[in-house]
Amino acid sequence: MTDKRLELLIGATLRIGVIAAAVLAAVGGGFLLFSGVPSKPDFGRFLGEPAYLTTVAGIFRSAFSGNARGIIQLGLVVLISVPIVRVAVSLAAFAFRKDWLYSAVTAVVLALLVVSLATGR
Amino acid sequence: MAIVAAGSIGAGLLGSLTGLGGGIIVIPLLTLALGVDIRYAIGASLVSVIATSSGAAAAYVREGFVNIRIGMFLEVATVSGALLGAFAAAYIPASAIAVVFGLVLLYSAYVGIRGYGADNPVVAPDNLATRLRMNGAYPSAGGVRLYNVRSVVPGMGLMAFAGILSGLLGIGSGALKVIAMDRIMKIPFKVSTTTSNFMIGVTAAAGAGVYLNRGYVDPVVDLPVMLGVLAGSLVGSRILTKARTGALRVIFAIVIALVGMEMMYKGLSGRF
Repeated sequence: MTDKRLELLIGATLRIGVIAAAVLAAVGGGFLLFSGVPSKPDFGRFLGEPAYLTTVAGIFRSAFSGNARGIIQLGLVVLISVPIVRVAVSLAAFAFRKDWLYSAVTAVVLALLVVSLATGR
Repeated sequence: MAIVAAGSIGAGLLGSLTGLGGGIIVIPLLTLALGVDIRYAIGASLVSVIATSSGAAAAYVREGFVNIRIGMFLEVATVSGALLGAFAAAYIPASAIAVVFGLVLLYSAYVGIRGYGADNPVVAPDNLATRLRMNGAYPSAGGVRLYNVRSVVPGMGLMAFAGILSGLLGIGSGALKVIAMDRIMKIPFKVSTTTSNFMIGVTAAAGAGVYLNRGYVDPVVDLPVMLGVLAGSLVGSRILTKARTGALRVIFAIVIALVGMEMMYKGLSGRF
């Protein structure tokens, strides 16, 4: 795999992730408009989010049950995962090229990301 | 919602042109203009950073602006710095740090404006950068241009510092990333901003789990932010390809001057 191929692969990863996220969010937004936003929501006070919108498992469940907010939130989770997936894809590509120096560098980045996500910083 | 979307388009546009995250537009727009609680705004800012980064970088990587090796290498420094900064946040007075950071940005803006117009001249290859195969090429109006990279170790040091600041202050650190690559490592300006753009998404994603769990990420607030920023970053990535480096430098200097003033104000008024 040449550097150009690597660039195309990473570019495609980012593009597919972004499109998937945008489509999910737009579909969820459409659902939300159809179901009618109950009342003008007040974001001036911080109430946090209901539990089903704060964990990845809960977001998946609510999205697949057709909840509009759940679908938008799933789009946001997909968006947040794009940089992480990009690092994982880069690791696979560097390993495929037997570029061990950059495989190691990328593995360290991925490990740090996993640590920070797992420990909540 | 339309106002948020329009402002977010602007944030995506500016973010993709400067290599910064766009939080500088999204946070004041939501909190000051629309009265949204700061915690929802922080969540939206995180979404904005990742959307700018992923949306614009898809184009920048494909067209050969981003130096992926430099990006990967420096991500080690920023992400570990961010972890360290978040850990140290409990022990360090963040307000004092914010004032220092503000001064650094104002000085960088001044230096950037004074040296405006010129891009970094091609420097002699550096031993370490050559062994790490960081020297690269990027497209320009006059065809593909080669460049060398210098001072990898000091550059990484400033990157780690940028990461610590982002962990400590909860802000994106795109400005310091660009400054480290442009000023210290002598990388061409467009490569510096696009590589910063490529990297900021990873730094932001590192903190995303916490914000999601704390309920800072609201679907109704963030939907127009995400779609607006993505649209803006797509337009911005088209513009950057053709833009003159001098013009981009001026935009960058103005934006970091504003961020610097905001940091100093927040630091001096003890809002960290």
